[in-house]
Amino acid sequence: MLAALRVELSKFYRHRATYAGFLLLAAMAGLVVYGAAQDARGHERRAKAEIQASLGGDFIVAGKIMSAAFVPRAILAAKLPVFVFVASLVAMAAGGAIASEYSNGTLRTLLSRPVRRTYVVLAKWLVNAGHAVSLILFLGGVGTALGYIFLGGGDLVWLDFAGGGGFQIVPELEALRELTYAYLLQGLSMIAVASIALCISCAVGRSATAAGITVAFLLLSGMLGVLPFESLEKVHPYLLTTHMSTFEHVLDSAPEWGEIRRAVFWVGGYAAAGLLGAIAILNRREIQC
Amino acid sequence: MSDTIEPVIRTRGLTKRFGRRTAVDGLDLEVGRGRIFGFLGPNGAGKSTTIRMLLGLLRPHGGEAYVLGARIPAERLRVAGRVGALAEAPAFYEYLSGRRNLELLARLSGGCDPRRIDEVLELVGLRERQHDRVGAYSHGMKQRLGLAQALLPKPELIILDEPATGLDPQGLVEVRGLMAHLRDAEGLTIFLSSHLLHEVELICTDVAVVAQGRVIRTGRVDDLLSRSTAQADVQVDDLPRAIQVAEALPYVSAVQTQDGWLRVSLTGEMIADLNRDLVGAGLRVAALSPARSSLEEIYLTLMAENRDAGGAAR
Repeated sequence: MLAALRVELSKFYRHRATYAGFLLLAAMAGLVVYGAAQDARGHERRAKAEIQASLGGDFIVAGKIMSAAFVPRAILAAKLPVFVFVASLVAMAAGGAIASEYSNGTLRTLLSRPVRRTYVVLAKWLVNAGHAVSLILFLGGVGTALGYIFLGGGDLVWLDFAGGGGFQIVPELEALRELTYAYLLQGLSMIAVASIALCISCAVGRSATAAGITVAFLLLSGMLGVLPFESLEKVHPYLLTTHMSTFEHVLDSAPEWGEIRRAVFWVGGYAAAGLLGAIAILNRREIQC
Repeated sequence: MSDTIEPVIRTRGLTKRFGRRTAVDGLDLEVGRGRIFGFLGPNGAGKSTTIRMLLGLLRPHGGEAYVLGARIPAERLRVAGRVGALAEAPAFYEYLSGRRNLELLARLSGGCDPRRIDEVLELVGLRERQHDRVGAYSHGMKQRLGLAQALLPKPELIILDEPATGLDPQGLVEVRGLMAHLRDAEGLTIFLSSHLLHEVELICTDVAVVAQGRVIRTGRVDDLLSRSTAQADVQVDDLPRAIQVAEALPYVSAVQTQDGWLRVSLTGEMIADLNRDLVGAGLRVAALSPARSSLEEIYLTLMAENRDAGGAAR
């Protein structure tokens, strides 16, 4: 098993394409920081006015609104960077794990060696799970680092008037700790995405197909979660995207930990089901290519 | 080298279907230790499918297969470290160097001494290019690397699917020499499929000819060649008359002309009789030499017979 893992790690991190995802995410975090830095003054003015209005105009709001912690918080709130960008990168990497080896014939070479198919899947899963977590942590980390460089430190001031959440002022260190939890939990989400992609990868012959089906599954799940039909509401508690969204609530002023634990259970269940499915499928697969 | 003592590969009634098509149909094979066994057949005869079943990549629908005494696929892992394989076109991680590919595959086989990697690279003539990316290799070089990875674990048996594909004439000679060396010096058993019948005739000690998933002839190459139709090439003064005379002889099965020579196929060892009867008919025999069918001719005859038998059955 360790030999298979070392081989997978070596293959994965010697592939240039592995680093393309990190570069993309760094560019995205850079764009968020650039936008925040450009709009900092206007945003602060609007934010102070909104806070003052919400307090009935009896307070003077002073101080720094936009700080480093704002960047990873904004990235999570936007959903798109994590749910689409990171999830797609994870789906592409894990989707190619078996399918691309199948189509180019290296799986045949690999499985002719004295190695259990289960170990091959486990090794690929560990590498892709690690990659998924590292991508999401990298996104948050680079966002925070760039935030410190261009926006400076300070407490996190977060406004959610549109969503009815009012405003929140979180001390800098506490904000960073909560953000770390939130990113780690989204890391679990990405492990689930990687597991699903790996499972599909074991069943199809092309990596693009595996990645495409995984992304389609996520989009369908997300769509089912927002369609305003009573009949579809029954499935909401079982959707992966429902629980992925729940993880953001760890940043609430009073997080509902029970709900978050339930989400961890479901997302973990998706990850485990994907992994077990991948093992079952590869062990039965005929290597014809 | 000892002859067949215990079969290294044994299949009984091995069967594999893809949907309605039966790719391998009750295949019986026996490959003795230390032999170089050629597995011949036209495209779609089931050669690659059989090899994949022997490697545990495909599961048979019927029958049984044993490799080095282990039942395949159930006990494959027990013997996989003693089997080297090159299944069809060699496939490697193109972004890694040839040497790095071998290192990774060696690790999966429980690791190996770097000197062994040097050794196999030297054997296949890739030492100079070992640090180049495989993506930059020619097909022939990839084929050599495929042979190197098959030899890496110091196997007792190597299974090669079309190992000569893509090799230039020099490469063919080298691979032929390498196989003979491996068999003689290291006592390896080699099971290979090939389309290059001349190469098989030169390399292999045994062959099995398959068609439509079944073995239609198997045996030692020497036996097959010696049991093939005896032929004689004859040079005479009057070719048309010689044809007439030869065709009338009871032990002659066919008469052909080629470059002013007469090729006479005989039903037995009747060359002396042929000479006597031609001379007896008043012909001047200037030259008479015995000729043997090549493996290629035997193969083509077998294929034609198989087609005829199939046609008759239909």
